[in-house]
Amino acid sequence: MSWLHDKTTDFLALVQQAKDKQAFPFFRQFENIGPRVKVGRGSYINFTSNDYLGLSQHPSLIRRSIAGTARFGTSLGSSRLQATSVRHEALERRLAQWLGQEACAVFTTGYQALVGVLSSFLDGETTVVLDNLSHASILDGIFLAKGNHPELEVRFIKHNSVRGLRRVLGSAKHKKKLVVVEGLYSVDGDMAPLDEMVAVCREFDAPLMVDDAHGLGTLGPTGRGVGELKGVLGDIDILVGTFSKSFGAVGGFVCADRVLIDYLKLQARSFVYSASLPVGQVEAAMAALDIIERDHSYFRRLEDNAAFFRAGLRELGFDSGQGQAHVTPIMLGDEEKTLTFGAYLFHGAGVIMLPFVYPAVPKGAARLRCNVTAAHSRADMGYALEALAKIGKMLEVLPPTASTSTSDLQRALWLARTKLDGARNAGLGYVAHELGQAGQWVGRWAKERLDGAPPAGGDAEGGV
Amino acid sequence: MELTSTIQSMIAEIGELDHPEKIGLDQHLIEDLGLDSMLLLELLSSLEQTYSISIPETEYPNMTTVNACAEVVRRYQAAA
Ligand SMILES: Cc1ncc(COP(=O)(O)O)c(C=O)c1O
Repeated sequence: MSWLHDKTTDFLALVQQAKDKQAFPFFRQFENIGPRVKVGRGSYINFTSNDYLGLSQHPSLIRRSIAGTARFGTSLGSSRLQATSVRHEALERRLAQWLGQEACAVFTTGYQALVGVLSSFLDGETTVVLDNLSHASILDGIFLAKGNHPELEVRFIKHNSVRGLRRVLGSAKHKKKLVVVEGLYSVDGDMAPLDEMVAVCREFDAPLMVDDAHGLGTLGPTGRGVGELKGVLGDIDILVGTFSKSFGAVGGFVCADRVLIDYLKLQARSFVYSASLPVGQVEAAMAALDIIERDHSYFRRLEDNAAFFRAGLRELGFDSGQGQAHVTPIMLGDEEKTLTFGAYLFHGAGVIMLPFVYPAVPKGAARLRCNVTAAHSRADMGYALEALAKIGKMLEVLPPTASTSTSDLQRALWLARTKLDGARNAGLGYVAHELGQAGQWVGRWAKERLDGAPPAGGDAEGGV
Repeated sequence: MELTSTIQSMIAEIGELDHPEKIGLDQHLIEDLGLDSMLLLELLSSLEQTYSISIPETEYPNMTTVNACAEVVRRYQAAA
């Protein structure tokens, strides 16, 4: 036993407590993937996927991915500097063209793309402005840059605040500034006011970088994301995306002016010192882009499904917070109720939604995160709504009279799958503070990280 | 303006709260007022800029109320 083992003891004890109560919501072993998943012998409706368009199961992606693998094998054997294929370059051209940018760099993950851009461009002569709800991959890029350049000024604005952006840019220490925001935020489901932000950035001569991991392929008249939706796609200086959400694959990319991309491809250590994305994934992303560009029925269906589900939640009396798109949080507030709700849904109703509690979200803002996708059927969503209604009443989150305007027959059909009575007897009485503590892997004080204190354990700020 | 009321205004500005005067001097900035660790960092840079002081990172964990922030500012002003 070394100090390494000692370090794990307290943290893993909390995890074990949650496991003992069957409330540990992670690492469930799926036998398949999609809107319906099998875990052990049970079948579950899954609302935790970011495969928003359901493309990961699309025959064209699978076929072309296999063809790419057949041609290049399962690995290119080196990083992009030594292992760039014609297909990588083709995909980069297509992505740049799609988003109206000069050039593009494809990274092995979106996380690496963000860490790479931020650590390559930020230095001790810059001020970087971030939203206080930034994703872990943005924060980690900042930690790396700040570690290398202690003089880098890091400033935060309250979530989506244009007023805050103006104030912070006006009082920045350095003349060179970069503003970094997301398009669609994955925890609250709300969007950055990019149109107003572009105007303020222009005023202060600060380039704007947008991580639209969740909006690209799903939002805007032609699926080009929140920038397109807000009419400012052409005004974004650096646009970052991922293949791990709507593209149904794995990989990340950065689009910007050619010189920025040329620089990035030689400077970003997460690009230079990590393996090239396998061609099977390059081909899957290319096939996804073909579909996203030509066949808008996928994101229309996503939009319809989100509208249906959101209307159902509203009719029942649930609060979806600021959610505007396919991310439809169910705000419950109380931490214990949220964790209990998540466990009842899984064990009792066969529905998977992820509970989010402090410190992943502010105190009093506990919620279930619920991702609707284009692949969910009306029956799946209707059933989930009925299960939510039943548990909501059980936990006194909803009044006993709550119901949707759906016909009784339809509701009865949807409800037929419910196994809820079992849940009540399954001994799932959770102690709030235990679970509250156990929930701490879901997020943590960024300050500790900025201070350079050793991380206390696993980490997933915001969504994954 | 008195130190604590300046800090109240800063918190209201950063956390976008409507009534700075209603921020209790001993209210917890995160648990009671809904700020988070990122916005606390923003408050710290405002304090440092406004009072031309440099607050070492070891002070951060204690700066969770208006009164506590004021105490730290006074101490580092005196030391300057
Ligand atoms: C907002 C945001 N940015 C970046 C990423 C990282 O993308 P990837 O999964 O490709 O690493 C994610 C999620 O994973 C995300 O939610």
